[in-house]
Amino acid sequence: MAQVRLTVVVRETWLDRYPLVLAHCREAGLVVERELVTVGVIGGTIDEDRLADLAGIEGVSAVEPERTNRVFGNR
Amino acid sequence: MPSTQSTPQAGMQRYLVLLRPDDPAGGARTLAELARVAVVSRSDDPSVQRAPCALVFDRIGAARVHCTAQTWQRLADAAAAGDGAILAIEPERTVYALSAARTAASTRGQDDAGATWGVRAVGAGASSQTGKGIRIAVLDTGLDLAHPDFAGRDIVSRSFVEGQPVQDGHGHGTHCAGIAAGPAMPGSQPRYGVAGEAGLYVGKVLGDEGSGGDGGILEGIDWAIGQGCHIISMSLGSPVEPGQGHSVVFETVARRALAAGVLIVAAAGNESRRPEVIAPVGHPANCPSILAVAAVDAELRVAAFSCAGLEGDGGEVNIAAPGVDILSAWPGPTGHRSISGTSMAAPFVAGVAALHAQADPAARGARLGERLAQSARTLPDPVRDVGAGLVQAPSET
Repeated sequence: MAQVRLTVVVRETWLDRYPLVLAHCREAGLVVERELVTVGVIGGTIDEDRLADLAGIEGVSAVEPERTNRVFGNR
Repeated sequence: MPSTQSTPQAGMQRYLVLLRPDDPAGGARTLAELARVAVVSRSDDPSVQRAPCALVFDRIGAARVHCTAQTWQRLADAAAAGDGAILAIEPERTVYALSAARTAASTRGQDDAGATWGVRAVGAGASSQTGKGIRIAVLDTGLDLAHPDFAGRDIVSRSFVEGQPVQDGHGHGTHCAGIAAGPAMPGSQPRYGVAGEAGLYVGKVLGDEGSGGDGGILEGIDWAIGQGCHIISMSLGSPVEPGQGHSVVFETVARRALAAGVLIVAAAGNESRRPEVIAPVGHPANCPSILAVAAVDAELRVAAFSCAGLEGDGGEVNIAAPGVDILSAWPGPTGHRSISGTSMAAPFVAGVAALHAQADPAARGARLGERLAQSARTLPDPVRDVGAGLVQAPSET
């Protein structure tokens, strides 16, 4: 199954329970690569077929696949 | 919105009419009916401007009308009624041409011995503020840590790109950092930096090839907030399709940054090929809580490549800054280079934001963003292209 790199946003009302949301994301199959506590975001990779499990976690407000960004200069 | 009702002069006079922003077409129809004039689209034809007609600037929801005192009275009554498509009418001289004309006269041209055209255009050279005490994070391809223009400078840096040090192997990050926070007196070049005494926080979030994922950028934002930065400058992004909408992740993070008193500014993007192609503001500048920056040239006209506010809900251009033929620092033996892009415009705004933040300790987060918009100078191009106008350093009191 294809792996997806993505970003998870911890819901505002769950920010004080960040470690709990992190644990639930891991249980749902997320391989955590970034723990961004200040902004309440978790980054990682997951099997494509488990995306719905991740999005369904209480305390998760959004899940987005990662984009690739480039410099906007050097023209 | 209150209407402005100055006493009309005898004979014909020009007025500016503010139309309801959600219905400029309806406003134009009402205007035609009340003023009993022909309504024409925006035009630079001087013969049209002298004719008894209304010139509609539909993208900024305003019109200019050349009319008699009787017509002025009908329009003023409509504005005073407060329930129609016309919000206000006022003599033209108080709104439009003066600030734009003054800006053009004072900044047009090339770099001179003292400062680049961009530094002069934003008024940084004339400001007594230096950014001292304010921390700017530049999230980009890193910095040339050995660059002589940054020698002796207290710089905090960190790489979020796996396997790559902060040292800038591309050049773009060094250029952007130079614009935002380069020194007031670089040795061999005119002044190219805005906030020469700001604290410089360099987060490498793009690899030396010039690209990077969302995760590294978000990590850089998280780090910058944790470091106590006041402003985050991001000259990066990816194109979006019309109607695609903004990232919920970046919008949430930007809101949390604002709540922490941190303003994020981002380049609007370079996907336009004017006049044929006008592309929407890219990701992540299209988030409502991120300040989207367009690029203008030395004539203060929107750059051919600069993305435009084609989408609502954050997809607007918020402000403009110099972004064509911009001299700044570059790694390597030459040490400096002139390049173009909305990438160059964003750090101008970040640097100017630092000057405002230094001048007023209350100007932080969203309030700092509002201050930038309120103090911007009106430009001749539509709000769609340049937002509030050209970013301006705080004026001296």
